[in-house]
Amino acid sequence: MKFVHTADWQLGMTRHFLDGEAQPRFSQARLDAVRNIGQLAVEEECEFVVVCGDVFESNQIDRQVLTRALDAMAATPDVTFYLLPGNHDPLDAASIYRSSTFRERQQPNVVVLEDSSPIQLAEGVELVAAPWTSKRPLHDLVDQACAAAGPSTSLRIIVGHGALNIRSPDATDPALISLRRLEEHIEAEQIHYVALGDRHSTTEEGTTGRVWYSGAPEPTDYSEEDPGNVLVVELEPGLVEVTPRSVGSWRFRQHQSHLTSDADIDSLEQWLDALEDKQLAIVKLSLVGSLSLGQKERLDRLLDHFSDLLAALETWERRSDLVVIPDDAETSTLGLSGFASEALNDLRELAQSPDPSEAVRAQNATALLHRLAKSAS
Amino acid sequence: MRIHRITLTNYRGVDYAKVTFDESGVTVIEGDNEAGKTSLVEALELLLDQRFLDRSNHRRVTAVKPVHHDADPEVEAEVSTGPYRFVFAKRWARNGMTELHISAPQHEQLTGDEAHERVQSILSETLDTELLKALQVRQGTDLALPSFAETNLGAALDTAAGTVGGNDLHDGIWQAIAAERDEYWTLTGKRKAVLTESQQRVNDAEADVASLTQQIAEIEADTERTARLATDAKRLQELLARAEEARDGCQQQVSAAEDVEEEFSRCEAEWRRLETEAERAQAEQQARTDLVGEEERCRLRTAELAEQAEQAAPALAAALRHHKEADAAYKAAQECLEQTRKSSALADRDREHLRQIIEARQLGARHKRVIAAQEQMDAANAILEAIHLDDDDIERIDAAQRAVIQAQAAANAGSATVTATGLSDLEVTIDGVTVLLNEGDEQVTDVVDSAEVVVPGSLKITVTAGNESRQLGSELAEAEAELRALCDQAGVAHLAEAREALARRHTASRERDHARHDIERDLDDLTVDVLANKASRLAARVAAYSDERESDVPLPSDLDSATRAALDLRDEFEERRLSFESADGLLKSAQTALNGEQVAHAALGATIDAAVNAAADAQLKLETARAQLPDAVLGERVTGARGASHEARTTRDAARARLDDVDIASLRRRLTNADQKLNRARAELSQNNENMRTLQISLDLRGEKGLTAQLDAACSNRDRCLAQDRSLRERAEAAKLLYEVFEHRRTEARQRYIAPFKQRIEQYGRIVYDTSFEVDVDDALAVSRRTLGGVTLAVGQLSTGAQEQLGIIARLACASIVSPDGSGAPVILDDALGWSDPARLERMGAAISSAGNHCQVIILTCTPGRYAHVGNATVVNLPTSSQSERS
Repeated sequence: MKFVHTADWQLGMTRHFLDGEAQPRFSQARLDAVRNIGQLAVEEECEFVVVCGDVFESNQIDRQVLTRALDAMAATPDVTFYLLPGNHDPLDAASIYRSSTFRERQQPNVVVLEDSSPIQLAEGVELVAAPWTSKRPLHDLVDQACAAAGPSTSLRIIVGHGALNIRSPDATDPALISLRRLEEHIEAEQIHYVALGDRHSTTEEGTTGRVWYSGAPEPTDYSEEDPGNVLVVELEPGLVEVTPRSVGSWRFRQHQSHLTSDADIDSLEQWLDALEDKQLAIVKLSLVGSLSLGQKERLDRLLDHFSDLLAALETWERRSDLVVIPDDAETSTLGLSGFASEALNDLRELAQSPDPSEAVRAQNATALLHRLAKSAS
Repeated sequence: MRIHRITLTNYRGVDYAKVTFDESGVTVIEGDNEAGKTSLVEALELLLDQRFLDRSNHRRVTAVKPVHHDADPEVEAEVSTGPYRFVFAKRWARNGMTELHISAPQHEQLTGDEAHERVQSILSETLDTELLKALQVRQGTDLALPSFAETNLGAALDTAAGTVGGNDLHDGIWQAIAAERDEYWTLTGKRKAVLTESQQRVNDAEADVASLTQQIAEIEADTERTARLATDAKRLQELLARAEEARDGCQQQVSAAEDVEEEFSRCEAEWRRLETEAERAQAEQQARTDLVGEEERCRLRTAELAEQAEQAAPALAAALRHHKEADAAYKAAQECLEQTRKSSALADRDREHLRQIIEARQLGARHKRVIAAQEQMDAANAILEAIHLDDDDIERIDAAQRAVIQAQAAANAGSATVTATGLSDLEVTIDGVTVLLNEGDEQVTDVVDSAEVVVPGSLKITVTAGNESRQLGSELAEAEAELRALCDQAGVAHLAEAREALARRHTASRERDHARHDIERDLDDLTVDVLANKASRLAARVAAYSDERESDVPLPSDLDSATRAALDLRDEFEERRLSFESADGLLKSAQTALNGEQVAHAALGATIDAAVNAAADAQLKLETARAQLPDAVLGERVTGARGASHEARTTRDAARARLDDVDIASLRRRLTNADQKLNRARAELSQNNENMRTLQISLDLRGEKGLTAQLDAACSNRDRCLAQDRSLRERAEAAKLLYEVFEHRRTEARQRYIAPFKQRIEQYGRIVYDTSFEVDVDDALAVSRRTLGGVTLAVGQLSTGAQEQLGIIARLACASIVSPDGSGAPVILDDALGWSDPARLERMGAAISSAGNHCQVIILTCTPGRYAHVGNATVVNLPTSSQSERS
């Protein structure tokens, strides 16, 4: 039996660094991914799709997003989508799954996994879900669901959401999912595949080959290692085969550039130029080094150019340290003499100050002087 | 610029004047008022001003035309400026004249507009016109100290400070820096709206984020609350089930106890019914006893009242009798009083009648007297009407009479006399008067004029008087005519008649006065008609009285007896009235006594009737009751009812004892409590469900808002605002720093730049004052403060004299710095230093003299001694009379 394992659609998510043109494209791409997943399920002859939590960014998303998501799933009516409430969209009193819009628009091929009662999917195959009913569960929901389901003669798929205890930096979190317990259940042949959501990078966990994070179908942040995939899972008694399939189109890229010469700027330009599908790329640069006023101007023009091309181009302020100091040639072209020349020397001294804020202030003042001198001459 | 020579021709009041100046050094031009000193300066201005071509009609040009003769003003000046030296002349007229002779650096000669243009080009190339103005101290202008900011002193100081070149560029940068700073900061260093508004946008954006975050947090809190309410609902349902069970148990116990209570109630009701019956029987027995007693009381009361009636009868009879007697006495007194009243009234009328008789008589007499007096007055008035004479008339007639007599006497004395003597009886006509002369009779006639004696039928003798006699006769005739005229006018024949008429007139006047007095007295305030009417009415009334009087009593003979009779009857009437009032009082008291007796009698009668009726009623009631139920049967019924009631009470007491044992009140309280617990549990559950439902509706509604998307948008906006604000602040800080650094260095440079000017001012100032003299020079190259003897004052605080001195010193300092390279201008002092004392003047002279070594100084003065202390001065006298040449 084959099915699609996916998670963390987080529909309705917006990104602050996207401007008014890129944001709608970004949102649309995420809805398109839903259609693509349905289409993939059809193509791969999968029985169903399990979405392991965080289908929606929040229970408070714009209702238009919900309507469009349900519409996207309705595009493949023969494919059943099992939706698991996660930490972003828990099944609480404010749940989007209980909203009037959801109830009115829900098609028969969309099933919300509201509790842990085993669901018979086919002869000898059942699904046990561990939905989130609040944002702060006080125990390991997946282990609880497994224990409640008890022994089974069927192939059993567990659908859960959350961090595994082996990955979380906060070991005291009572909701962490115990990998050891999962592997014990697998060992006892109580469960046969654990479909997890929450981690946006496609990841196989443990040693059984039966515990997987599918990752997000479209990337959401720079820190994700291998996003943009869904998993096609083939499960048979004594056999599991998991195949990642890429469905995402957008890319998040970080890049550090050390700039002290025109050649360094050339390199940065080449790197940016080499990016494919620039309109789908979100780039964050950390720029370190020291440039003359002229070089800084060139860099600014370069960045302006790629800002227009890319979906977004950010400068990583925290990791940038670019000193701008006019070189001698630039200074001499100003033709300053007397007190003006003395004042410029004062600024150059301040620009070397050990106090970074003082230094930046002086650099800015120097750049301003150049600009004013140019327009005054 | 240096001025070598100026020549004025036909300029204002000056016909011709030529002044030659020292090329360097001090020229003092002395002259009286109106000598044309100020005209020299003005003429130079006019000559060099680019506006005034030689045919200009500008009012400044027309103003300098001489007023006393028709001539065109002309100015010629020899001037050096920069490398040039030239003589420039201009005559302003319809066909004006302009001539230019340039002698250095190379010869050149031009005329007309070409010459004018050439001079303007030389001046714009070499002359600092601002400086030329700044170096003048004009007569009567204010004392404001000059600023040399706009002059080429700056350039000279630049040279001195070693900052040659690039000034324009630096000024441009400096202005741009200041403008950039001004975009963000106020002059006092406060943030401008562009920064505060940006900060406000950040604040607003953060407030939006906070608000949306808060709304989402509230939704999460409400979500958790809903979950807690769901847990509570389960607990409350269990509580409700337990409460229902407890309540059912209590209800059963109460039902059993209520059966016992019902039994007791029934026994109680039976006993109360029987007790009521016994009480009713006893009441009936008591009513019978009361009836017997009532019948007895009524009988006794009737007998007692009959006895009282018998005893009261004599008193009533006595009162009736007494009243009858008093009534008779009253009527007699009343009759008597009436008789006397009538007699008295008759007597009063008689008396009045008699009085009226007398009055009628008096009125008649008064009326007659009035009539008589009126007739008398009419007669007198007729006389007075007829005679108009008065005493003056008599006097005049009397005088005329005497004049006739006197004229007669004179005529007689002077006239002839004709004496006719009858020789027989005959008729003779003498002067027309026929006289019968008997024999022997003599008729003497005086001839005044002429006289005729005619013996009819025989003789006519005419005797004519002489002239004198005729004159006298004429005078006599005039006197007689005068007398006649007066007598005719008075209506009398002669004086005697006149006297008699006047006497009659006096008599008639007196009589008229008497008659008028009599009429006034008798009429008093009446008229004659009213008096007549009154008299006739009174007479008629008197006449009618005897018919009206109906009495047998004879009328009194006179008024006195009638008055006496009337007074007597009035006394009698008063006595009778007192008697009548006494009788009336007695009657009223008898009536009162009688009324009392009659009322008492009637009341007793009514009481007796009522008592008799009551006795009959009581007897009837008693008999009726006994017929219905005899006394013996009534007694038996009372005894039976009492026994039944006692028995029922015993049964009831037993039922109460059983009820007390079950304690139904406690059971009911427990049931009530169980009910309340149950209701409370239901209410709490209901409230819990209601709260859940409300929260759920609220959550559903808020869920539809899409708050996450709004929050994301708000966060993006916040981040954008923050980035913009950071960038703006960086720019503002950069602008501020750039300004501060530049300003600091610029001030330092400015201080270096100002130093030579300041030093030169202080150099001259110390000649005038002392070595403690210092000045502050501001950026505009103006003296702002002066320090002397350690005291620093702003320029405005200095005395007028000190301000003027400081102004001249500053000009001398400026000119002495600027002039050596040929780009300066002369210092021109027009009647300055009028405010300085002699000692200061002397020192100022030394300072001017010192400056004169470096620049041209021209002093115009009408006070020759004022500049005597300028050692190296060349003095030029400008006398009042013109047409002379001086050098």
